[in-house]
Amino acid sequence: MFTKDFPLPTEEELTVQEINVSTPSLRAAAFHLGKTCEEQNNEYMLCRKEEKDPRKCLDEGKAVTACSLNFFRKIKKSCLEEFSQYANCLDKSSRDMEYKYCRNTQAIYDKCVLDNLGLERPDFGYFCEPKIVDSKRPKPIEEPLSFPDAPEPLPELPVGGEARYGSRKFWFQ
Amino acid sequence: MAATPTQDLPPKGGYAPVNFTRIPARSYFNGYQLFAGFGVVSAVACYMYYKTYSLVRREDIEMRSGRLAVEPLLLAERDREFLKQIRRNRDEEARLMANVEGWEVGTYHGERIYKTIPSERFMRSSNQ
Repeated sequence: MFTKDFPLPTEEELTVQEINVSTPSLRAAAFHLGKTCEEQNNEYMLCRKEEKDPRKCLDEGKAVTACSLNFFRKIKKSCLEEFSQYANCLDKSSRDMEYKYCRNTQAIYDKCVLDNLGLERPDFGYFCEPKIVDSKRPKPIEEPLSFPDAPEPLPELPVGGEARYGSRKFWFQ
Repeated sequence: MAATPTQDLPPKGGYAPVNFTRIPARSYFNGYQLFAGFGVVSAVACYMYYKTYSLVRREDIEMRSGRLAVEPLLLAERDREFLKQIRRNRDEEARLMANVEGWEVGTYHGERIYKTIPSERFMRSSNQ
């Protein structure tokens, strides 16, 4: 699996400024954040699904984090009070941070974001819909499984000796 | 002794006649009306249930949307941390098994773990 020669990215490549924001704030910002960073998010998820290899999707992941950081910076400059009130309401109103208990604060926050950043809150089911994504990165080629007529012999097992605890076929040894 | 002892006798003229005819309970609705009432209440309740359940489903979808909107961000962070942790694990394994004969890091006593898969492929241990 991960041998010495297996190429893993270095610590410097993986260290990036991370988002330092807690769950209620993420829940409060979710809809607008998802709408702003939609392209980067879609690219990243497509890359992750197709390549199945986290090393190949590092750049897309960094783009996602950078986009979210920019969004939070914009919010901090313009709408900080309304945002923090909304996050606080979500946090303290219910166990699951449900949206239905905080409609008043949500209205104020939505209006503020619409005025300052020009972002409309997307439809309530927008992120549950499946998205069709196309990207410039070429699709990885999956080799179809080949079933030769005669099966290839497995590589030789290393010399190990007898099994340590005997075999299952005790009676026919 | 009194002249005549007092006795518990029936009143003069005898007792009043006793009414022993049946008096059935007063019924406000007959059977058909009862069934109709049941049907009406059920219909109203069904309508209210449908409305409420639609609302509950909408709220569930909204919660799920909120969670899915943030998911790529969290997955990106998690992948980066995962790769860092793999490096730390590999170093720790090298340190632990330094004195064991025939041990190469990432193999079982020099034997490859996945024998038919090319070695560049990233194998996760869980389905994520």
